Amino acid sequence: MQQIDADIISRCKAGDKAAFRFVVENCQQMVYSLAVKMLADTEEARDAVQDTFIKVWQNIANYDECYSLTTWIYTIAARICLDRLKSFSGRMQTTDDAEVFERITDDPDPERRLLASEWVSVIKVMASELSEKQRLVFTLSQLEDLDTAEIIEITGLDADQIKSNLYAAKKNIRERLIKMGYGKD
Amino acid sequence: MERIDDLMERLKGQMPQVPGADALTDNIMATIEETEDRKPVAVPMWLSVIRTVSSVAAVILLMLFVRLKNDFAEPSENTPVNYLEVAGNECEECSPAERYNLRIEKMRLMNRRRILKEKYYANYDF
Repeated sequence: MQQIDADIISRCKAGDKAAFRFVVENCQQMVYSLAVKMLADTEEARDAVQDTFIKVWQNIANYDECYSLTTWIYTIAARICLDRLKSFSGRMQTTDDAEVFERITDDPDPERRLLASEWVSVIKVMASELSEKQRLVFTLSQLEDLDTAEIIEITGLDADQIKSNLYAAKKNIRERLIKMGYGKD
Repeated sequence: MERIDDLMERLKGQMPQVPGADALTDNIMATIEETEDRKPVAVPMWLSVIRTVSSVAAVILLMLFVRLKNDFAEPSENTPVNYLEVAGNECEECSPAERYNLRIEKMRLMNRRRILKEKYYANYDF
């Protein structure tokens, strides 16, 4: 994750909104990425991003500079996404989602970056039956590619819990995809 | 399973672009400004003091009202009369002789109660 200068952080703590705008512009994509992958809905993800940065601004005075600012923002974003997941059950996978998923798996260009709407379809196909914790751990580990130490800091879970949630999530996804016919090569 | 593994590898670390990123940033900053504008106005100290004092005074007055109502309540016709108490209250306006007689009467009544109780328990020997 990218690091923010200590000077910017001090200015944010002092109430400098221009400095905070810089933080928003630089961290927005990372928070949006997490939100889309957790919530599988672009509008909900935008709302989650907004809520995250408002909460960050309101609590910036309490931020401990011993920890990375981006990890702290990620922690707030993860909690907001979990709360939103609890309050809305998310939309069911549709036929279009399955078609988009098929197209992505067969894409000859492996370097092509997915659009937000394509991510929504991928998550709905893969992760719709995961529990909230499994989804969070899977997203942070497999999709956001964070290391275990960062995941521990963000989720508050210990290494064993992360390992077991990740194992359960992967197993669930594989079984689901095999049922859909993706396991046969 | 190779297809799934390839897909997982492709997806790792990819971040989708934020559609309308600038508009979202503007929205966030505008919401922060609005939230700050809506901060509650500080109440002057003298107003807080007056509010507290008048609340306490109202509670005290209410308690006094209830207490006075109970003190001056007249006994209803159905209220059983405690003759021992009545005897005592009449004493304040009585002459010494009358007070003496009332005291004797009071003792007689108390004795009578005691005798009745003993008879009752004697009759029902458990």
